[in-house]
Amino acid sequence: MSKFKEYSLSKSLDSNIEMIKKIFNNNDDTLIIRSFQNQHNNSLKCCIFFIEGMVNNEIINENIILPIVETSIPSIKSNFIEYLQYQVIVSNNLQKTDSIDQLIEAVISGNTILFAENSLEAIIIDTKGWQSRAIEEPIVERVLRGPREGFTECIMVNLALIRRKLRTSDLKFEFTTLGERTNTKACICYIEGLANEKILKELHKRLESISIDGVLDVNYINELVSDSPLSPFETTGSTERPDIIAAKLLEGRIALVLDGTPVVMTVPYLFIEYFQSNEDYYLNYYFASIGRVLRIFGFIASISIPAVYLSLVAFHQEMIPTPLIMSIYAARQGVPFPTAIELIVLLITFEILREAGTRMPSYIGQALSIVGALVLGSSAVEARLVSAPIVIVVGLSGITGLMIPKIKSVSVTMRFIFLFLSSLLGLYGYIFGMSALLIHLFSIRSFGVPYMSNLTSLHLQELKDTTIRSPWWYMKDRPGSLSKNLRRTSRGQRQ
Amino acid sequence: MNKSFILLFVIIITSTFLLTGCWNYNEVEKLAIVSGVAIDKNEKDNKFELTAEVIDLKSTQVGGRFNSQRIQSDGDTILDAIRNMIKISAKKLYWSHATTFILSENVAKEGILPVLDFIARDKEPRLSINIFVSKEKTAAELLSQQSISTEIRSFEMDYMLLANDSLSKVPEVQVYEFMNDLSNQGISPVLPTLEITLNEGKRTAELGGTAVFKKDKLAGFLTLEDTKFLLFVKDKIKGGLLIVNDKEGESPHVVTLEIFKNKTKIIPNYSNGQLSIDIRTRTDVSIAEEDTTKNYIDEKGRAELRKKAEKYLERNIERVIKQAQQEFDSDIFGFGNTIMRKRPDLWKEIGKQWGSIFPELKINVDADIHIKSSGHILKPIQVGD
Repeated sequence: MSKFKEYSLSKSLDSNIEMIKKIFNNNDDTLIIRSFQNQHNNSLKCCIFFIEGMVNNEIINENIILPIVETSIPSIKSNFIEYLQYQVIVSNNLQKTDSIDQLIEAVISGNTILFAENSLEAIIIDTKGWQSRAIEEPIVERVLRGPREGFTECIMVNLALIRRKLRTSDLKFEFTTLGERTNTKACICYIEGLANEKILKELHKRLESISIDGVLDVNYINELVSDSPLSPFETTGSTERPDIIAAKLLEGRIALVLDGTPVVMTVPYLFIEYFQSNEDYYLNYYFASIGRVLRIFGFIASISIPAVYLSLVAFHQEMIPTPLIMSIYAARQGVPFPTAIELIVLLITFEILREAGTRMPSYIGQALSIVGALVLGSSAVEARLVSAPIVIVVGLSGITGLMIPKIKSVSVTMRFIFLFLSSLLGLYGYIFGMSALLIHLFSIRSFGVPYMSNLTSLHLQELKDTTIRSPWWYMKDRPGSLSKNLRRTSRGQRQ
Repeated sequence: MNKSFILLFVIIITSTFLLTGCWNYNEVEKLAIVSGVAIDKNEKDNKFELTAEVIDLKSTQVGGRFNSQRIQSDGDTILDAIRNMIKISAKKLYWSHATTFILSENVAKEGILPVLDFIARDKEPRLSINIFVSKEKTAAELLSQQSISTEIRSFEMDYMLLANDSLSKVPEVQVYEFMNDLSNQGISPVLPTLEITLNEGKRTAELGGTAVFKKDKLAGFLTLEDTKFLLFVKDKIKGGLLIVNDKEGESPHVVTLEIFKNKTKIIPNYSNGQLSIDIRTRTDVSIAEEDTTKNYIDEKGRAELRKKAEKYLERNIERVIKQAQQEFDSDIFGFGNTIMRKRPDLWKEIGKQWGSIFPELKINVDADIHIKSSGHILKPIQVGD
């Protein structure tokens, strides 16, 4: 895929400079062109190109320009460029080439290229050095206990973070480039011997078939490669934490690290992973199991509470205990809207408040919660615009929905679908929707692995890390159908 | 998606709307929640007169007390009377939360079938409703007396029946049990009754013993005290007291025993063409109260008390059975039913003549009382000079 077929290097330095200038825009001020010559031998002319802001200026000054200017050169004229490469330039990573494509790519990825008079080749010197964010804890995935580092936007730093956790030569990195215009560097990571080769092959195949302009985040890839693109459920995982990636790799999963984003994708992704948190494994397993059961319950509650409340209150009043229906009855006195409308309006209000709060600077956030809780909640009840139980129902549904931020898209959409169904048919409609949801969950796959696989297994070892988190000494096997080497090496004293 | 799938989908969706039975979107405040109903019969035009107690929410604030209202109407049948109530209430009556049906004596005497039919056939009333028979002139007046625990009289009657566990003086019969007894062979149903008493000078409803049925018609009443012995035979005792009087000794006194547990077995005996029924009760009690310094706690006293209590229980059970045999001619204990279950061969022979066998049936009662404790005292309180 040579884009610069019509160009080629010439022996004249000036024409080479003109060519590079032409390839970039003539007015591109970020491209720095610096010509210089050796102080002992004026005929030794050189020129370097690099892009301002993407290079480490110190390296260029100290290790490229200074040695070339100062070197006392013997009069070897024929392969001067080789002499520079081996004896003058101080760099741990450099390469000689005559391919224009390589040269251009090197410049735009932050390297410096060096042309010399009378040479048909040029040198690429690694001078990458741009400003990047420090390694800090990801805001959306905070933990109380456990490692606090998170990925950054720089792929090499990210890979180093993974490598630091998995110091084995079995950890393989396979690089590729994605995005026809962004040329984003991507890396597939897996542990050889654990990762399922079929899944690996499938991932390669799907990545190769991608054709997209730009890749700015892994979600671009996710939507292009995932198995059920129309499903609200995600079939690829994403995280900003190296410890999670290391754990997933150890389970035989495969990670895709992308340059320019701190989010790393993992495949295959099963339903239960929504409810697994890295903290589960760092805390006592009783506590972790309670947390996990609560999260699963929270998800079901979040999608069901408004629908079930509506069904009971509007269709099946006989199912509500008598004292409860009396208080609901009393609370609804003077409320002008039907229960279904009340619920839908208040649920939408909740989503608006949540959406408004997400991108709001934190100092306004407080005002928002006051507006949300006091003005909209209590005043609406006092003014008899909505009944008090509805506020509780919507609040509960919203809070349980926020327990797992990752599954938010599902809980928000399902909540409204179920509410709509039960406003038509009561509990029957709710059960109808729930069955459809289950059928969907059981029908989708992630890279060939059934989405619900380990939740429905009959083997105890498969279930050990699902609704409860078993102690580490009990988790002897890896989750099946992912890894080809099932045996975990956790041979404790309780073996 | 192919065409047949879409067609199937449309058929399923439309049929869900068409085949949904009779439930519907109905806001709570559009319903009038019925808590109970009293059914009377007008002697003059032979119409049913219904008084439904409806939970009143007009005056209620959130967290406040709930009041009740009464809606009265009449009709040729029960459902007719119920539908006529819409004329008054402007809301459809909602029966799923009803707990109490009260029948007047003459409704019960004429036959309880129309009431049972409505409860069993209509989708809203539950089979766990309690039916009472009023011992007052009308059933409706029970719904308008002073209430103690809640403003809603019907719920109060329901609570009274629930609390009966430690009283054991009325039978707890729900509709489905009544219907089972009614349709089964060799057993006659009973119902609890209600009457009006004075509490601090105000009239209020209280439990009033048992209404005995023969087939579906009222045959008579058992008193509260006699009901206890009926419950002993029916093995439905969950608590309550046994009051043992000693009138013969030099100092007449009375000892109260509290029942903790009771198990009754009914054993039919058939030999030489002679049918008899053995009733064996085994009761765990504790001494709950005594008005004497006599020691009933030591071994000797306990044996004496036990003998007295057993005799007392046997005598009373026999008396109540005799009353049912002679006065009501109604097998409310289910002896025939027990024979049918334990000796089906025998029932085939005698089942047809059960009506004539029952009044002559020979009964042996064998009570077995175990005194388990004496409360917090180990010796009776001594009275010194």
